Formats: sequence, C-alpha cells, structure tokens
Amino acid sequence: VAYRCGGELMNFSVDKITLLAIAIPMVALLLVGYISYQNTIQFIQRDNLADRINLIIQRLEHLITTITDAETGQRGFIITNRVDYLDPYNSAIRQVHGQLANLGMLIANEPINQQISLNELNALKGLIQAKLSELNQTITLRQSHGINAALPIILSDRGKILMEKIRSTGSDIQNQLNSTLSTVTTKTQAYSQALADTIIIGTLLAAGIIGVSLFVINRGIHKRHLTIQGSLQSEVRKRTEELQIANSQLLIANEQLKLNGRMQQEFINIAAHELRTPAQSILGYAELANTRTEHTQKQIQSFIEVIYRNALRIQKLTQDILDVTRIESHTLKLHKIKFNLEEVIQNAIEDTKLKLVPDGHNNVKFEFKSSGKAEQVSSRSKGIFVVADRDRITQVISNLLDNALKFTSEGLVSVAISTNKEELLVSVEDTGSGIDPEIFPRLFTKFTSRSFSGTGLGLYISKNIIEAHGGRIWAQNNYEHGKHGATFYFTLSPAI
Amino acid sequence: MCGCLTTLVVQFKPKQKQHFIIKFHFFPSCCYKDDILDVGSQLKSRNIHTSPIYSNNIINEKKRIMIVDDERDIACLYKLSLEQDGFFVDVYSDPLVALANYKTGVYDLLLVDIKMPGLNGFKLYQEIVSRHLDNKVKICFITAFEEYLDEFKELFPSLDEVDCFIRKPIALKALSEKVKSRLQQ
Repeated sequence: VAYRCGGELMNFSVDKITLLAIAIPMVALLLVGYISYQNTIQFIQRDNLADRINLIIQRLEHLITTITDAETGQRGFIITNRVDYLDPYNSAIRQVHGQLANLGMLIANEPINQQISLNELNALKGLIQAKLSELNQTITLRQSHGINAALPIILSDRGKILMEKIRSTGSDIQNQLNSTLSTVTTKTQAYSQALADTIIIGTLLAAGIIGVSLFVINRGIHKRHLTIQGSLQSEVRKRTEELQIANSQLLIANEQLKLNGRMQQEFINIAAHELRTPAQSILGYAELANTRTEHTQKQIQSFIEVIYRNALRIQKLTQDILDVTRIESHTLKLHKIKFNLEEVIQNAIEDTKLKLVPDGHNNVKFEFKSSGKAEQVSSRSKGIFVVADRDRITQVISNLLDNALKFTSEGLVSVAISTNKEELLVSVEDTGSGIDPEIFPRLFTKFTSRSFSGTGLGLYISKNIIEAHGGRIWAQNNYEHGKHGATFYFTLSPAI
Repeated sequence: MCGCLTTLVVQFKPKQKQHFIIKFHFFPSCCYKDDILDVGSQLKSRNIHTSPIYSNNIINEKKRIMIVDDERDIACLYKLSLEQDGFFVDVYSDPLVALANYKTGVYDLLLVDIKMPGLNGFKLYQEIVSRHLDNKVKICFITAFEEYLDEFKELFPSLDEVDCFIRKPIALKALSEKVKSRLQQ
C-alpha cells in the first residue's frame, strides 16, 4: 500500500511538472504572439500613416504644380493673348479649391503635427488665393486693356513673390510632413525591428523553455522510470525475501517433520527398549525360579523382588503412555482436593529414597526445605495447603526427583517450597551433570531424553499437569549461578 | 544367599605374606565386576592387595564370557543363568571400565549391550578388537532396541546378524543354546 501511495504521489508530481513544462512554453508563445500582434498592428498603423503622409505630400506637390501651371498659363496668355494658353489656368482654377479642401481634410484627419500643418495650410490657402487673385487681375487686364495694362502688376513682382511664398510655404509643410514621415518611418522600422526581435527572442525563449521543459519531462520520466524500477526492484527484493523466508520456514517445517519422524522412531525404539527390558527380567527370573530347582526360598524371594520392580517399571511406562494419550486427546481430568503439599513432597522423597539402593545411588542425599509460613496459608493446621490433584502433583514431584537422581551420581537433591500471596514455588535442585544444552530448548517436549533408561515423556506429562493446574514449570542449569546440576521449578496456587 | 559368587584372593602386605581366600557373596545388585574392582581398590587403599579368581585352574577349563550391560537385573540374570550352565561369567556395567580391564585371550565370548552410557556396544567391540588385537573372542550384541541393524551391517560387514544378535527378551534356555552355538562356531 505504501508503495502504491508513494507511486501515486510521485505520478502526481511528475504530471504537475509535465503540465508546467507544457503550459509555460504555451504561455510564452501566446505572449510572443500577443506582442507580435501588437507590434504588427502598430507597424501596419504606422505604415498606413506613412502612406497617408506621402499622399498629403503628393497632393501638396500636385497643388503647387497646379498653381505653377496656372501661372505658366497666365504668362503664356499675357505674352500671346491666345486663349488656349489659359487652359492650365482655368484647369487650376477649377481644381485648386477642391485640392485645397482635400488637402485640408487629409491633414485634419492626421493627429501628427496637425495644428502646425493646418496653420501652414491656412497660410498657403491665403497665398494661393492671393496668387489666383493676382493671376485673375493680370489676365483680366490683359483681356481688357492689353498687355501694357497688365505689365505693371507683373513687373511689380507681386506674383513672383507670392509664388515664392507659396513654394516656400508648400516646402515648409512638405518638410514638416517629411519630418513626420521620417518619424513614422523610424517608428515603423522600430516596430518592425521590435516585431522581428519579439519573434526571434520569443521563439528562442519558447524553444529554450520547451527544451528545458523537455529536459524536465525527460528527467521526470527518467525519475519515474527509476522510481518504478526501484520500486520494482524493492518489490522483487521483498518478494525474494518473502520467498526466502517461506523457503526457510518450509525447510524448518520439513526439518521439524523429519525431527518429529525421528523422534517418533526414537520413541518406538525407546518404548520397545523400556518394554522389553523389564519383560526380560520378569520372564527371565520367573523362568529361573520355575526351572531351576536348587534355589532357596530367599533366592526365590529376591527373584520375586526383581520381577515386582520390573512389573512396576512396565506399569509406569503404561501409565506414561496413557497420560500422553489423555493429554493429546484433551481428556486429562483433575480430581482436585485440598491437601498438604509438604506432606506430599516428603512422601515422594521417601519413595525416591527407596530407589537409591538398587540403582547404586548411595552417595545422594535428599533435603527438604519449606520457607512457607503455614499459618498464613492455613490457619487450621500446619502445612502448606493447595487445592489440586494430589496424585498428579505427586507424579510431577516424583518425576522431578527421579530425573534429579538419574543425573546425580553423588551429591544433594534439594526440594524447597517458597510462598507468596499469589503462588507457591516448588524447586527441585540437584548437584548432578545438569541439562544437556542440546536438548534444553525442547526439554518439556515429548521423547526428549538423555537418559539411557526413560521414554522422554516424564517432563512433557509434568508440564501438562502443572499447566492444567494453572501453574508454570521451567528449568535452569545451576552453572548459570556458578554451581553444578540443574534446578526445576513449578508453581501452584495456594489454597485460600 | 548364593548364586552370584565372587571370589577374591586377598594378600596382606608387607610382612604377612599369607594368602587368604575371602568369598564375597553379592546378589543380585552387586554382582558387577566394576563393584568388585571398587571393593578391590578400596582394599588396596588400605594396603590390602587383591587379585581376580580366574587364576583358578578349574575356572580356566570353563568357557569364559564377559557381559557388559548397564541393566543390572538383566546382567545378573544372564550371569546366574550362564553360570548354572557351566560358564565362567564376568559382568561389567560400565563399558569404559570393561575396556580398561580387558585382557586379551581371557574371554571366549562377549555379550555386550548396544546402548550404554559412555561407549556403545559396537564401539566397545571395535576398541577391544583394535586395541587388544583380540580377533579370537566372539561377540554377541544384546539389545532391546529396534533399529541397530543398519549400523551393525555397516560396521561389521563380515559378521552375521543372526549369529551376533540376542534380542531381549530371550528365554534363558534359548540364551544358553545361543551362547553354546556361538562358542562352537
């Protein structure tokens, strides 16, 4: 789940970067487009303005030409008195007002230097009017009074001066317009340059951003790829580890099965040995007593003792196997009564002592210490009382004592009871060889035995009996405390 | 009390060079040679020197059997039974003591339990053969266990399983016949 969440977060992050990487160049391109558009509009406007100014200049030049043509026609008529020379003049008279009005309108429509141009134009209009008036006067005088009447006016140079002023004023207007045209052209060129710059810079910028975006996207994809690869590798490692764990668990289970198999085989072996060995003594001594006639009564009695001892051994084995069966089928029943635990332990010790002579454990002493305060446990009588299955508890104590005796060739077997308000602690300590570390971990499991006589069921049964009473049982090697032997402990609840 | 009779020759030293024959009667739990050796060593510690009985000529004529088994009741049973059948029998409970006290050429037959503390029966026999170079002594392994055949076949390929195994429980008559048969081979 963590991996998936991490993956989604990573995906989200990468997608965001990708989105930005696409969006930024798009915005940049839109901006470039907008600026270019604005520049183009400006360029077109300036270009149109230039065209219009050129048109005004053309019209102005045309007006000057018209006036010049009118003067030329006037001079030709005055000299020749031929009417056809008046055609340019007449044509100029017809056109000049229209041209002036057109020019005035063209200049009035343009915002640049409007005032100056209009003033100049008004001045030009006045001059033209004056010039046309002078032409009209001279032509009229020529027609009515002859050339001599017109000559004083011509020779007065008024017409010439007016014409020069007209040309000068026209030239001024034209200069102004040219200046404006130059400015407009410069601006147009600037806009054109700005447009080109905007396009180039914008394109380069967009290309750069796209490049960076592609790099970022690529890096994101690479990172994602690495992340996925890492996740996959992690997943593979995890699965491999799980497989290894499962494999090792299978191996352990397999080993456990093999061990169980070996233990069962060992149990069969031990059970066979434990049944056949006393059977051999029983059958052999019985045969000896029956078939050999020369035995005395005492010999026969000793044979019977051996037979009895071995019959008890078979009975013990039978009891153990039945107990294991009851434990495993959960039919172990406890018949709880209140009894004195001290008395039971004392009896068990005495019974165990009887086994000393036949087994040759003559150098083992027994000791029983009870630190319990009997008065606290039972106010009615002395002793430490428990409510438990007396026979089963006796079985556990006897088993622990037998075990202690098996592994203690000489020394001390010490039994102790200590009490507190919650539980009684019984310990059986010996000074023997201690518990083999190899079997220590499975000490309380079935078929665990280092003894050369024994089924390995005693501690398993004891554990189940104590646990059925709600107690605990455990063991430790005394060398942990710098001593020889082992100590077994079990707990029981005190009788209230 | 009779049956398991052990005889020790006791010599008192240094001045009294006189031999006393003291008969110890132990039955049934103390018929082990180990225990007799223990008594011997205890006597020796008190400057009383002992020697085993088998210097006796009468005993020398008997077939000699060494039983090594940690099961006391059974060892004593076999000893009683075989002694009554006319064999001389020494019994050891500890295979290491048996090996330490083994003397080449003394015994005709070894009856050895397989599972014993300290040294198992197979290894004891191997040690006796290799250490004491006693190839003449015959062997019968005694066991109440089920599974030793594979190990036996592996360790002693030249020995026959039927001849060399006595399985507990065995009738005393059958034991006697088995021992006699083995000794005749």
